Amino acid sequence: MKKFFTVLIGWLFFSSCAEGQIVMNNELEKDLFNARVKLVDEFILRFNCGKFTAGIDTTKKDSKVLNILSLFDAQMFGSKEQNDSIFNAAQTFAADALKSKVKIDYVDTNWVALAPCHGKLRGKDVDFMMFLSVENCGKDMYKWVIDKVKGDIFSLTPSDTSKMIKIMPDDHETNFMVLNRITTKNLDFILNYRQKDYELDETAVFYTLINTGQLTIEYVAGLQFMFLQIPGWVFTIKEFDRMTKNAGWLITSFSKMSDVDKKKFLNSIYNVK
Amino acid sequence: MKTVKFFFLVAVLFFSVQVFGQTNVDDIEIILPDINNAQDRAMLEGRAKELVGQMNDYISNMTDKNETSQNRWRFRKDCLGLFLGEGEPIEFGGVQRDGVKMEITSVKSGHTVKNTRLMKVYFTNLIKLLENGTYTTITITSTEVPQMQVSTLRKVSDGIYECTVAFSQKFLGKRGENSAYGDVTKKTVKVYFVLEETMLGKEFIPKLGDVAAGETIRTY
Repeated sequence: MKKFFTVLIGWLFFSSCAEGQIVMNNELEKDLFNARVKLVDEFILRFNCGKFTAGIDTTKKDSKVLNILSLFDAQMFGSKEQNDSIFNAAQTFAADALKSKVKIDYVDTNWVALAPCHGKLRGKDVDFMMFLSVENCGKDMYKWVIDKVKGDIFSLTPSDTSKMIKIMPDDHETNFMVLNRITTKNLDFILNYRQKDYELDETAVFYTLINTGQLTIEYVAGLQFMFLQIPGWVFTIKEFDRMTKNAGWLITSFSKMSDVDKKKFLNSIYNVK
Repeated sequence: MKTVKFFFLVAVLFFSVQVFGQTNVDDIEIILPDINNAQDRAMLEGRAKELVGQMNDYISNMTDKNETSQNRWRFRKDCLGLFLGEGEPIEFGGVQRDGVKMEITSVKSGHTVKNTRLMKVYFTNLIKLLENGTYTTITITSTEVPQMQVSTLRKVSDGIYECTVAFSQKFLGKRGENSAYGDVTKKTVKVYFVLEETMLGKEFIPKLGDVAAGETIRTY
């Protein structure tokens, strides 16, 4: 099985040789395009073994395991020293996925898009992460929704946290005139005045900055999707643009994750306390 | 005998035309595809791929040096006709939106950078690459329609559905006999099916939306 897999991965990864050629062979182009996992939908279909990677003999007993293994970024298995342990772990993951009989689906509530956003905050380049998930919005209708946004620009961390920066104990006697001063000067000090247990909602800050025209998103670069459907495991996919058969949407990381940790993670994304 | 044969042929042609001319447009019935039916959905997804194929044909023609300038600009106009709002700003799904866009990915100093351009500007720039002499020949080829990948058709709202078609596009620019620049880019394009009232009744009309381009891989 390992020998076959090594041959398969070698064939997938190295079967390109297109770069540097003046004119690409049409059959090679077709092969490369057909082998590539071109859409996230296609990844889901292949992961569920609704479609097999070309070259896998579907009559063989281990064809489904091989099919799932072919959806990994082959470069993860590139190191000879690491080869055995990562490969073995991937095999275990594939076997567990098949044993669970779980089919991942677009409409699942336990997969998340991780969108690294590049934008402009008041004209300056900024980067932050956005988490999105699929939400039902009517009969047979779904949409993507923003669950959470994380980034330093939303933390509103004051540049000075001196204990003297505060609303004074007697400011109530002057009609809280100080509120005008703290909202017109040294604006980044504002969180110094919050109640001690107040937890800032970074996502609300994001919405406010967008609503007031201070923040725009220029593009998403490095989009990934995290899947938590397989019992005991979590894995992430991202898109690899390269001229090999091992290209397109591929598993870029995977690890064990308990149901408790999954729930914690999803609750943090969905803002459930 | 020859005269008899001639008049017999004319009579056959004449009556054939008469029979054709008697078709009543009221007898033509448009049956709306059932989105919940897998076969109907597959048919629409096939139409999506064909529309993308049409777009790619127009793009090839726009940059064909054997075409007149007039024809190239006409292909640009016809191609934009395949898109939502014909490439112009439009109200869609109750929301005002810009003209359809092309997103282009590049890697600069190891960082991925993306830029968007209005589709009509992208097409203009393509034609200008040929007409201003940047290249003497441009060849743009794309994945054949049967090989394109299409996502599941999904409901956006009552009367609007969408899917995405993935294809690959190869660009080769030459100066004289020498290849000057070549690349391959994987692209995904949104396809919308909008229920509209036509002369023949309600129909799902396919229209193209934004196009996202992955990292361009230089081949020459």
